[in-house]
Amino acid sequence: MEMGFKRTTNAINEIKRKGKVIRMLRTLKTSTKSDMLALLLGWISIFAIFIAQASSNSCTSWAIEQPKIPKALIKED
Amino acid sequence: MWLLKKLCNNITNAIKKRVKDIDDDKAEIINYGLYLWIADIIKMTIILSTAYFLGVFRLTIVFILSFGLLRVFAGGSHAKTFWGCLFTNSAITFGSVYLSLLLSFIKPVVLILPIMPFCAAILYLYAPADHENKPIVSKKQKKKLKTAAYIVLILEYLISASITQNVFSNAIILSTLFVCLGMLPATYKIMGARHGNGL
Repeated sequence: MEMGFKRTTNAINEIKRKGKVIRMLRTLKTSTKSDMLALLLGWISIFAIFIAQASSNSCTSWAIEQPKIPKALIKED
Repeated sequence: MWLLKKLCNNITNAIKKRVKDIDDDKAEIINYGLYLWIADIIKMTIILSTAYFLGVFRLTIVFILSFGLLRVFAGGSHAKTFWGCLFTNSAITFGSVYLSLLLSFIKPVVLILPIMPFCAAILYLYAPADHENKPIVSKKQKKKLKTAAYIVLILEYLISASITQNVFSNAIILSTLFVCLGMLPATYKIMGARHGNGL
């Protein structure tokens, strides 16, 4: 019974903490949200470029679909 | 898949608006990378979750890793659509997985003996088998890819010969067979695909 009570308390504390994070995000200034979005998009673009560049070194995609590669990534002698 | 393309275009446009120094060429590269990234995540999720529920998760991972690694260097035919790709990938993956389970009584050496010379010959003749959407123009790159494909092929056979569990060995051997079958001109014709030189 004690274990059950502890687990319930932990779960409630967890929900309270998550609620605080959500409230904190809502109170952020618009400019900060925009900066965070730009940062996230920047990271996404870095990963995408990394994947595209790595793919340019291979023959084809591992899967059985090959989207059209941009001309800038085609290696020439 | 137009939804996926639309999603990638939207993300790329958002990146172009908010991130500095992203011109049209870079945006095209980002779009391409995003498509590969998201499409692969979706396909892997579907295939691996299906494998998990069928109880062949580990075997599927072994197959996908050995198939993907060799195919990345050796190349091969491709499907024209996302769903065609997913269907073909799933058919090859689960077909090979269940075939390796069926053939688990056979020692890997018995499979390697006929398959290895066949795959070696196919690699010699056709590797790297490029695609019209991704032509390999550079002779240097072709040589590097062919060498890498041979190295991966030999390594995979060595690994399959050294593994004690026949099921995993067979999965690796069958993956090499299917990669090489995908490089044949007949396979290109069946799938309506073309090489980088248009043939």
